[in-house]
Amino acid sequence: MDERLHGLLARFPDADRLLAASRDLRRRGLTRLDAYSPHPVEGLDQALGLSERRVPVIALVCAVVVGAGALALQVYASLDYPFNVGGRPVLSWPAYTIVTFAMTMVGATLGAMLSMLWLNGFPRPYHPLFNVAEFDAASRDGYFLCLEASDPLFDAERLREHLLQNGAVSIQEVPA
Amino acid sequence: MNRRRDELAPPGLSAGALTDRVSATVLGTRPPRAWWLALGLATLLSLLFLVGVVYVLSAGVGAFGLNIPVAWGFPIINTIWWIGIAHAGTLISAVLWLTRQDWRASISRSAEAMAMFAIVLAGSYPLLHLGRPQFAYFLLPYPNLMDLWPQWRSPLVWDFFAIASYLLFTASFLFLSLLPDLASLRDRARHRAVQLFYGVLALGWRNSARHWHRYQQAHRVLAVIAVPIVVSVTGTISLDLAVSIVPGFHFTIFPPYFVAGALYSGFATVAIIAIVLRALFGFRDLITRAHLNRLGIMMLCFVLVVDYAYLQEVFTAFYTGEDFYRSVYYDRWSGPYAPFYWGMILCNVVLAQGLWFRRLRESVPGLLCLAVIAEIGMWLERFQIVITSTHKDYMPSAWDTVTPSAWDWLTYAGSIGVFVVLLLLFIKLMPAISMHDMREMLHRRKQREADHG
Repeated sequence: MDERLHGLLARFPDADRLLAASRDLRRRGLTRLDAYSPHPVEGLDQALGLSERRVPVIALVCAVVVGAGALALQVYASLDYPFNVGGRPVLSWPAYTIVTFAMTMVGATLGAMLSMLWLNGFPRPYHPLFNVAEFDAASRDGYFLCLEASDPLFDAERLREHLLQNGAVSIQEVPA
Repeated sequence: MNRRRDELAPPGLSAGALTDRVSATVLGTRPPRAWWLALGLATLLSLLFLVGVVYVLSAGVGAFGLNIPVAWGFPIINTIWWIGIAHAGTLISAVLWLTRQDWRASISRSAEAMAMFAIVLAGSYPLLHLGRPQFAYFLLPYPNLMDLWPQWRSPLVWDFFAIASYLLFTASFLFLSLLPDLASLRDRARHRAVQLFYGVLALGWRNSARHWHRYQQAHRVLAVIAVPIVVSVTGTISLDLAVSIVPGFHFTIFPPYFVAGALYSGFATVAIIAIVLRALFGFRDLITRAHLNRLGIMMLCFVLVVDYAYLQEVFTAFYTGEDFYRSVYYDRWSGPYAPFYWGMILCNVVLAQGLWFRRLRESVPGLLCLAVIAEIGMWLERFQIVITSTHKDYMPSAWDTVTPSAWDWLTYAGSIGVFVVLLLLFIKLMPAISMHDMREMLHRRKQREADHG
């Protein structure tokens, strides 16, 4: 039966209970679990052990690369076709700052947006959780915790008890 | 302070009830009759824009009231005016988020949409003004047989990059903040086609803690870069004028002066949209008088900076001791465009002082009047900067006056119609109030109450 299962989905009455349950189950050694809440909950990412900072790093790298590229392009263009306007220097760098700045912002914007979408695995048209009718509440006022069956410590009976102890109001099996 | 009066949302409002209410405005079958009426009128108005654009493109840019020396005229006035309106949207959604202002939650979405459409219109005017818009791509650095590059020292190239990057930024920011709300709509929708529509747009958002974790990181990055963007885009546009040597343009105060004016007119537009949303969807308890009050305070802050800049400009002109600079002011005060100057002073200096009174800021007709005055005043300011400075610069042989043509006015009125149409369609297709921001705000409020009680 366990091969056919995506995991156990438990609903909690509020954010605090969800946070406590996430911390508890994480302490018990579970690694493949995810929490769902209608708004970001402070501390939930630490409770689940999410500490990656790839989005801002990618954004920074993109900003620097695109900005440097824009500056290099302007320098190259000025050397490739030197323009003498009223005796101004060929490399008038103060004039290049604005386009460089604008393109740096473009790099940061695209880096942050696209890395967020890519790391989150979007677009993702199908997910087993979408089959659970009650899960629609995750975007309204429902707080859920999903323990995935792929976890080495997954044991439906035992985890069901842990979830109930932590104040879950309903628990259901999510078919894969 | 009176606590009841300062309430940002009804006391007992739950996240579920809020989500149901806001998504009902999108998923409900029949929009209010006033929405249809407004859409009909705005569509008629926007047809003027279409007619104006077709005529100007076929007859040439001479259809506008332009000449040499006044080569810029309405298209550039309107570009500056529209891009300024966009700035308040960015400020509300990003800067007020960074400073943790709870009151931004219910108006941020409409402000972001406003910014988006205002930039589109701001960007369309320079294209019309090109005369040969089919060559707009000359502004892009691309390999070509003529071996030519854009002139990187030219403010017009800076403008192109500033507006294009701002458009990209605003579109990304709007989509990012819509993403969780699109998922809410997908989950609430009952018809298959509607589910598919929002489901495809939501890209598979599941409200997972991992999603929120990266979402917040991306949001923070965008909010942080929004701060320099707010001051740089209109700042860059002001450089079009300030880096020239034309008296009346060549002032170092231009970038901050333009930004303050931009934010003043932008907050006025947000106030108008907030008032319309309240009336249209009955959001009086979500966009409260406390919100209107704060919007009024923001307008007041920025109009005071604008007034200071007026004073500083006159002072600089006279302090330089240059006759050309002084004569610009004599001409503004008593020349052919004096009514525009004094109209600007009346709106932005005299009538704007009404914003000091809380009673006016909190009353719907009061704030609406002040906001409309702000829009008119800021438009007159852009008019007097662009037109009066160039029509009479150095040599009397180069002086000339220009009269706006019917096509100027038609296109301008039409562009307001286009803006209203886009905004009305947006608030019908997308949630006009950011549901996830509101849920977060309500959650924080509940926690605060738990801590104190």
